[in-house]
Amino acid sequence: MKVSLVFVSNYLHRQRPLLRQTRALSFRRVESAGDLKQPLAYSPQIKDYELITDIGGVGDISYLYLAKYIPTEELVALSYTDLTLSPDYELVDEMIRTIRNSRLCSHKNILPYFTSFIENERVWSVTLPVATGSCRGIMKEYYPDGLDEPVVATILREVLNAIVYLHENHMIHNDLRADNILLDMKGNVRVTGLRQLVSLMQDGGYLKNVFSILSDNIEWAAPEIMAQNSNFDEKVDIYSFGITAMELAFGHTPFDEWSPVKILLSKLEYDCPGIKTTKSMPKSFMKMVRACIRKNPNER
Amino acid sequence: MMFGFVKKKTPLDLVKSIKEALGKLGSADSRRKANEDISKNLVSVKGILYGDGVTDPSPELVAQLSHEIYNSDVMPLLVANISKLEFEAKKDVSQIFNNLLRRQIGTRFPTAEYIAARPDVMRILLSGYENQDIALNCGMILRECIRHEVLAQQLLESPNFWKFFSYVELSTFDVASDAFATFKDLLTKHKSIVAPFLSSKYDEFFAKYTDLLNSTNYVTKRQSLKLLGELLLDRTNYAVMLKYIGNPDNLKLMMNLLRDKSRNIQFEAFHVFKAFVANPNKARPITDILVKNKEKLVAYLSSFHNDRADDETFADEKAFLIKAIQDL
Repeated sequence: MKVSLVFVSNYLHRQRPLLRQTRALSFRRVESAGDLKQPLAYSPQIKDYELITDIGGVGDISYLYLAKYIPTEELVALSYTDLTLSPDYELVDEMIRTIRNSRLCSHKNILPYFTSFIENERVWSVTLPVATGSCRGIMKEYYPDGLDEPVVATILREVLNAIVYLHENHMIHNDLRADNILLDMKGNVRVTGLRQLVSLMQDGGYLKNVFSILSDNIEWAAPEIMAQNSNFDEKVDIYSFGITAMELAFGHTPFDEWSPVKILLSKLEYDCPGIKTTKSMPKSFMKMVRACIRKNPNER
Repeated sequence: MMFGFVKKKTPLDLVKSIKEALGKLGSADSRRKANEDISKNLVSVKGILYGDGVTDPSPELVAQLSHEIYNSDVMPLLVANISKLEFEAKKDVSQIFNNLLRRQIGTRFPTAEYIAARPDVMRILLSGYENQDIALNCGMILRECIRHEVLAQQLLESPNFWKFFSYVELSTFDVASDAFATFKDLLTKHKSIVAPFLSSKYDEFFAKYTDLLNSTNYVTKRQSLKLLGELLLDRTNYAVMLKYIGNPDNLKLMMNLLRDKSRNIQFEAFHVFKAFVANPNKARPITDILVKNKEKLVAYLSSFHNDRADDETFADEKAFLIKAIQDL
């Protein structure tokens, strides 16, 4: 991990953070929510929140709103998950895990989580509102061919901060992709989507590797997770980071529009394929990406 | 280390500085510096106990360190002050406790014995559920504590145990669900001590438990119903189950839950309801209720969750229940 992180950060250092450029991107979706200071506690009662704008579905199972926290008039993001969606108990457990994971992280590049509560058959969580939404959404609407190189570099650098924090805490994000990278009007980058996070710190010791079930992130998942026949370690985040870098730069991953079976077979058998694009990115960028997406985790 | 001239703090120094700094958390002017010291030293303590992820921890250092930790009585202080520590330091405290709690010398678990001799530690940890900022950290330590039978027994028998019934109903979801996870561990991990506990505290326990089953909080209701099914159908709790399924009020409650507006609740209720019907020696009042509602129950069960066709056990059990009720 150390080697490739150094490699990545060397690349990123050459592209010194051009925050101003990121700010220059103008998005008009939702008015800026401004910088929020976290008050001591948000109330766990739905009556204290006023829904303002309906932002839409996230991650297939949740629905997101921009809302006003009535006691302080601050804006928050409020999302709910309908617990009746799935007949088995797994969904409740998954919500508990996700919220726990978010609660145990505190880093400027990870979406801060405030509180959560139950209302009828829904679980609501209150988080920091990120006005412009995910990088995926921004690209879809304004930059279908990907973001400019300095912007990509800046975002990646911030994402890397979050990964370093997670790895230092012996956690594997396990679901990095442009969908899970949020960007606000000031260019702050926040990683979210801790649904599949795996902790390597268990039973009073560190595990060297873990096993988890493959989820729906097959375009981004590392080959060793796809194989589902062995344990994996933090290196899976490096692989997803490389794929995400291409996604940000070109607007899609090399596996875009492939069938799941084709992705699976390709990842198990071959190195990551080249990306279809007319856009050119500097050599150093592609070199960094190639270092991340090596099939063998030890070479990443 | 890379630099020969950087002298590493010995376990004794580390524990001593942590203890000193904990004493300074009270006053406003020394608090910040004290917190910095604590955070830094806790990281070093964690480093000794866990290793750096590449090399394994050194057994001699671990032995020395844990010896100092017990001797200095720093553990109760850490727990008592955990709410004043920095965010990462709080997590480090849980991780340090959880490592020490796994420490084993022969057949003995010195940390568990240490905590057993100081009941305040678990009492303070439990009250952590009253503060959202430390609830999860305390919860993690508590669950590690109750892996040890002696500590689980202590908690079961303490008057504080009954606080769980309010903690699992807290409106903050993450805290309530963590409290429930601990509550569940406590009632399922050491079956041999739980069965006598449930028998002797039967009335008090199930009076409070019924409140959970009637909770307005969907998750509390669903979780407690599921746990009830697990508890009753566990063979060690056989005597408790017989008592429970002999009570007509419990049957009425389950029949109501069987018709709950939430399908998931209905399904969990089914797994408790089946015990009432399957009991070969039903008490008179139970049979009376079932006979009185025979037609309705058969009709209801015949169309009950028919979409779960792939769950064969469920289909078999349902067919069995329908037949048993018809034959009454």
